[in-house]
Amino acid sequence: MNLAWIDYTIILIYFIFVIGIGLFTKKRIKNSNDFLSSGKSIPLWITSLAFISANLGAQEVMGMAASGAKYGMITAHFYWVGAIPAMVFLGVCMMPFYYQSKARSVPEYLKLRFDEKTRAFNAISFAILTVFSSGISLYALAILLDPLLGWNFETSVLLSAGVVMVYTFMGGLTSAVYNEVFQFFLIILGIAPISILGVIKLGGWRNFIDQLPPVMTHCWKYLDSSDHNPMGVNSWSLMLGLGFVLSFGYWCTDFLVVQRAMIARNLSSAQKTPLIAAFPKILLPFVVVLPGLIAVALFQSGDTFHLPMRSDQQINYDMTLPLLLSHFFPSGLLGLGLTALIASFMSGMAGNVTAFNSVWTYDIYQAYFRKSAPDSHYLLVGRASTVLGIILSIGTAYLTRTFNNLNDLLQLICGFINAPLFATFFLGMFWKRTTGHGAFSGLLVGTLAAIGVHGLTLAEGKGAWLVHTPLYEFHSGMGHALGVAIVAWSTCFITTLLVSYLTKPKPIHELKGLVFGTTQPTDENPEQWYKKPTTLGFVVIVVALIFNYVWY
Amino acid sequence: MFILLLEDLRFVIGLFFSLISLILLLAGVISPSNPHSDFNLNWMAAGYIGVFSGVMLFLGISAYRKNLSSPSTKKEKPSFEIREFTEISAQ
Repeated sequence: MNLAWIDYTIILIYFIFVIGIGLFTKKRIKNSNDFLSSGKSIPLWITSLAFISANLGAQEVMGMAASGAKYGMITAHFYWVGAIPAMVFLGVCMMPFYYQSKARSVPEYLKLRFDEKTRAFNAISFAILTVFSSGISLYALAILLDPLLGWNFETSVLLSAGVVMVYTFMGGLTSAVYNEVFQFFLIILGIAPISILGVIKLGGWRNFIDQLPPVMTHCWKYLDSSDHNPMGVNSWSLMLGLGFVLSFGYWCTDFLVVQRAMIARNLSSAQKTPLIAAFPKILLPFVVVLPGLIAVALFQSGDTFHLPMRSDQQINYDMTLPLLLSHFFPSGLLGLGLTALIASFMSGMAGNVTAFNSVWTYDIYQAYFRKSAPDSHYLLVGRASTVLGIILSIGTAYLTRTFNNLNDLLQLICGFINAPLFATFFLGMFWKRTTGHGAFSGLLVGTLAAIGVHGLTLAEGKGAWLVHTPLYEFHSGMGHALGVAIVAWSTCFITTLLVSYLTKPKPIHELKGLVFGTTQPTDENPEQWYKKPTTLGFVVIVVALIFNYVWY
Repeated sequence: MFILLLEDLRFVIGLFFSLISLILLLAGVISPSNPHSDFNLNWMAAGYIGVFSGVMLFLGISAYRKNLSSPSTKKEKPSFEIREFTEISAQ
């Protein structure tokens, strides 16, 4: 890819602005709460955009374009089924408990609701996975920038990590959140033209759709059997595995995204954060998935565009988006598109690092190393853990480069740990009888069940590492992941129920504000019915249903 | 005033994208031909990004002016920090 000086100028201006935002937010940092929780002062529109931007990392942007090229419009299920219902549930049902509990993090909520060991399990696993996730993001950026900009691995890793470290170190969570909003607009304005130019190039919408095989242009029609669609899943496993277990596990319990809602100015804003974020989220498939379909249609139409092959002679779908940028954009606009890709990597990494420093400081350091220290000490620890998180991420990026399969392994472990989590939170928030022992054993057994199912079953040659003959073979890797998640969730749910029945629950007065039915909602500033989170949530669900219907 | 405006995220975003818009205008002059399109894509992008940046600058400046004119009501809070705005207006 040939870049001109004008493209590099755009990238340079971007770096200057993100560091500038860090510099301007630095003066807001007076104590550890400002640094790690933004002092709960962020306006609603910012928390909402940061909420989706924290998830709009490079794996999302490039991965969804790749999935669009591989599976077609069915990929939109990751949004319309795999995100929207969970975001509405978080806003309407769960956020009141997170916010009113005054917990500073999701693990801290577990401490208040259950006990110390449940918090420790969640905090330690989350901190480790967050750092690994950030490192993988860094690794992916480095291997992308090598062919695109000609930067070597060291330059890409150190420059990107350095910029993220400078602005998160200076302005903490506020700086990360403001940069996420900035990066959100950059990603949309830099990448959206591909969809428009692609459709125009293919002769309009109707011609574009006609170039594609029918299975790629429908979301539900070919889900009657896992044999009938390229994703290898059926509608039930999709709804249960993706639409319930995985999406609720991620959107409702992952501190990385929940943190963006927890820093809102008041409860109403905290509840509306995921609901307002849901509107752009519904439209995102047209920015990140559609380019994948355009890539396929261009190839089918005899255009010069084609995807490269990997060393194992499989199509390299991961290059869909960068190659489309290079195909359509002239110098100038190309610089903007590449800056948008860099922004998506940095956004994902900064999100992980700021979630890591909060959990490390509040839930590990303050809980187990030094309980009572002056606030300035925790501010120092927060800053130090930001640097530590970045250094560990760089280490993970190098590890991933050395061990090629580390990325797959880490994604797998993330799945094992995340899948059962929602069962714990669901029971904890809506059933007073749930006990700390029940929650902890449920999480443990659910995670072990996930590992066990993966080790006993097979898909696309992966898994079944516990036995010579697999007990069951799934049609696809996606079907496998959904199956593992469903078993993990169910096991956690049943174990938590059983153990909770056998152990002594917390007295009701200790659960005040933490569990459904323990407090009466206080409507100090009652809103009109159309401004209430439930109304907003209802509208979001209706809009999502319309999109599902149109793309049936 | 400019420093205070820089504390509003909308203004910062508007400023960044107006710079990008200008750069794309320049890019459209330098390389007017595009391999897969009949129009000058850089100018097209400069247009829509210019409109977006204009809206963001307007929102940022409006919030600033609103806080100057009615510091006590604090109807519209700027995205970064309100304290500096109200202090200036009080002076």
